[in-house]
Amino acid sequence: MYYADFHIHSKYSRATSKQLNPQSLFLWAQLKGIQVVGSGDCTHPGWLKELRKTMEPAGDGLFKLKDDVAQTAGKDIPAGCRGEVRFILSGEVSSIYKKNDKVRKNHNVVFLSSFEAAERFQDRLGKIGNIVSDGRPILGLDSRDLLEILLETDETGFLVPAHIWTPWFSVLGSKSGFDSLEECFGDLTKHIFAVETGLSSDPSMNWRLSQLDPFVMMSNSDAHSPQKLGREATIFGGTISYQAMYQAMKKATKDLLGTIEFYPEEGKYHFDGHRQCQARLHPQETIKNKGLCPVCKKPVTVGVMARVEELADHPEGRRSPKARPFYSLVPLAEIIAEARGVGVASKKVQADYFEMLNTLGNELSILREFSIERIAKSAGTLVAEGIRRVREGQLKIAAGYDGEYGTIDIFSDEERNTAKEQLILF
Amino acid sequence: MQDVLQSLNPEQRHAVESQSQSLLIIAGPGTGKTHTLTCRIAVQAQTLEPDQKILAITFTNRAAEEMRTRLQARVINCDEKVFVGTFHQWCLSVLREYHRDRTIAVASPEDVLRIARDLWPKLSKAELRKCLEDISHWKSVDFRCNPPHEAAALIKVLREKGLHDFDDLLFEAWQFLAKNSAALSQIRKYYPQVCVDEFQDINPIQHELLKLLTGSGGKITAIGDPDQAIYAFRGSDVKFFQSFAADFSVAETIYLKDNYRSVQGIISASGQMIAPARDESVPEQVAKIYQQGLLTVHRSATDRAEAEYVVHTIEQLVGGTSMFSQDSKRVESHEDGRFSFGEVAVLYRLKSQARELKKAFARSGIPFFVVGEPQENETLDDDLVAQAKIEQDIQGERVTLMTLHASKGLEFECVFICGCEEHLLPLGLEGIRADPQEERRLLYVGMTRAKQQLYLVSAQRRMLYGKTFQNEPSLFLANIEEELKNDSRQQYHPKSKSRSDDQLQLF
Repeated sequence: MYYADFHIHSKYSRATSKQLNPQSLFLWAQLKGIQVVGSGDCTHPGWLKELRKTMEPAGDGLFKLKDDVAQTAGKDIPAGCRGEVRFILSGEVSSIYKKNDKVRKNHNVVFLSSFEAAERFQDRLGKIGNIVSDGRPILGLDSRDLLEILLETDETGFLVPAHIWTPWFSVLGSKSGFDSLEECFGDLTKHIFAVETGLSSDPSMNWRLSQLDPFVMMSNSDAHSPQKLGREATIFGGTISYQAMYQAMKKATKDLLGTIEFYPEEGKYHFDGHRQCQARLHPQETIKNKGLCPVCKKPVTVGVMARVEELADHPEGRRSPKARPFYSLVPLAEIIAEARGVGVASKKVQADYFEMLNTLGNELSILREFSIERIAKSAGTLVAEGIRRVREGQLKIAAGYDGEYGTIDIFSDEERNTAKEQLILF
Repeated sequence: MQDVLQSLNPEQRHAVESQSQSLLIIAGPGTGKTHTLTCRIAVQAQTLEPDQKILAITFTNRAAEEMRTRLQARVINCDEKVFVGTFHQWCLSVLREYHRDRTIAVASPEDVLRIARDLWPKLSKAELRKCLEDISHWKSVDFRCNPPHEAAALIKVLREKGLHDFDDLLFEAWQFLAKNSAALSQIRKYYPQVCVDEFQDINPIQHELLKLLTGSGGKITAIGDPDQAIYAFRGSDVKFFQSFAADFSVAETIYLKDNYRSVQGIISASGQMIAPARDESVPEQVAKIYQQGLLTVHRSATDRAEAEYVVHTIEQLVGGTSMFSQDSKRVESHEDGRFSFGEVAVLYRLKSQARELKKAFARSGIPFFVVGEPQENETLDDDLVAQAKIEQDIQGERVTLMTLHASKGLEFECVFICGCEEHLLPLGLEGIRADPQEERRLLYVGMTRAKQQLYLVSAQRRMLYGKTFQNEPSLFLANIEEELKNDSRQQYHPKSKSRSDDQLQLF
């Protein structure tokens, strides 16, 4: 079994961390417990150059850090986290164009099987638009045509519509998407076999649409900093190779095991609302308010939950034929922060986080595999209890809306205080 | 043919059906000029006898191509009934078929430059250009006078190589027709009716050719807009518009005033702005589309800030280009993007103004295209190839950047005009002093490209040709009443430079 996080960004994308270089991706993949990481931004000439300098083909379409680079980059990785990391060439393209008289904004993740193919792809896109100023280029290119160019460039290349429910930038988004993949990709729809759920939706929400039955669900972090790696991921069995993953998704084989998910409420666009006015609306409230913000009376941003409801043709609880299990998690640092009652970026949380990685192992194994007792010994009962509750889904989340992340609530103040007293007692 | 007529408003229909021997149609921006002219040709083509053709003259190959496509949909055996082409194309056909000079070949401007360089190796680039301009001016404007003394040598070399340059085609055709009355009467019979598009841009030799052609009894239809005459520097003369009645007998004038392109605010503002350049009052245009639209006037501190303003505003027009535009609150979440990149154009007076704009577009990642700049791996054989290329590129979903001159005949939902300042509009940099009236018409051409949103942008301080200029807003804008101007200060709040902006400048 292994985890893959296909969709991330490099430092060449706008509004991303400067640390997003091959070395820190290599480092953080191991801390998180990811075996296959997307290169991200493979349409960017500067980034591809950097990839070529630091990586070499690992056989069958994947890449690995060159030995000397890996040695330096990995010297501080705790023993319990160490593992092989493979990279797959991937990149996100933002297509903004007019179709059927409406402005469409779609994000798509493309995958290529070799450096040479990625270079050919860059040549093609470079003639159409500017691919050098943003790792995720904005092109006035129809998503269908993007797919066509990809298939012409690389026979085993493939395209996955990104975070398909995001209001502003996705194939089914409420603001500038379509009502179906068919409407977007037309005659080439048959070449698509996977869709990315995005943070604000989980597979069960997607199973409510018959039109999504032909596709398998893929989950990725869409990380804009290395620390966010693996917050969502896709789980595979069998051998690690480009072809193996490609076939597992394309044919929905038994080697496609499932996905790691955010609780969708934690995503930035689960509910509806209006950020400027801090108005968070359940879709039912939106309907009651006729789509307007109760504060400023301007239209709210309609989120993922409402949009799924709008397009769904099945009630909740339906499973699609290609459904795979999924596991909803909360990032470990957030659980620690919740247990300590401090901010997630605080030094305290960071120290505890690395301490746990040192004594236990990578984050995904902590969140999913270690026994609660074992975790308690290393990190205390409250953090262990927090992880238990996350595993069981015993948590409250104030849903995200209009670009604001949802906020999770695992412990009450009383529980935190009791835990503190116990700590003093023992 | 009935359905053709039904698509017309009363003035257009009159223009199509008029039997006047000479007809002048004054068609302002967005009034359906091409449609009206095409319909007229289609209707008039029915009255032709066998072995007769209508001669339809357009200003560019691009326009000829468009007209041909439209005519083919309306006229059976169109190619046998109508000759559609530029003056150059038509003159070339005359020389080949009547002058029996079938081997005639056309020299591109690059060919001419090469030949001139070989002839006068001692001349500097600027001197060479001046010399060729003088020869060109003689062939197209002062053709009745003695030629500049360099002309003979150049023509000699061209002819030895079997070549004619563009100006030669017209000049030779004129000489040939003026001297061969037999051929002329044959041609007059063959082309009983001539239609000329963009009549405001014809030059003296073209005018002379038209007079020769129509002679006594020939029919002529001229269509155009004197407010959009912007090619005086190439020898075009808008006075031919005013003298039409005197030059061609029994003249009728028809005004097309219904504007199907722009919202009322843009029509009113451009109308007020152009008024001082008009010799006589003309009927006011009436908007025929009833959408919301806006004219925005914005003044920036520098040319760089001007470029940033343009880019940020385009981001708002498309409703944000990235999550970042949302997260940074650059675009409010309730703002709906109505426009796509391909519906936006950024216009400017001088090519060098594109520099800051290109930088800002590159920083933003917004796809854009600069008209008239050779693309990589591409050699431009001549103007005509370049023109075809422009058309291709504009169709893409990218923001178009181009000079005001290049924007003629095009239309966009949203138009930015940068550098609406003294020294640029009217152009008055040291050494260059353009005709203010012509400059006013140039701004008019730019403004009337906009269908829904028009932005008139200026900068207080600007670098041009290595010098810093402090420019006042263009006086042309003073003619637009304040109520029409939406002040951008109420809606535009640039964010302080963010970390990611810094980051991008590294590359």
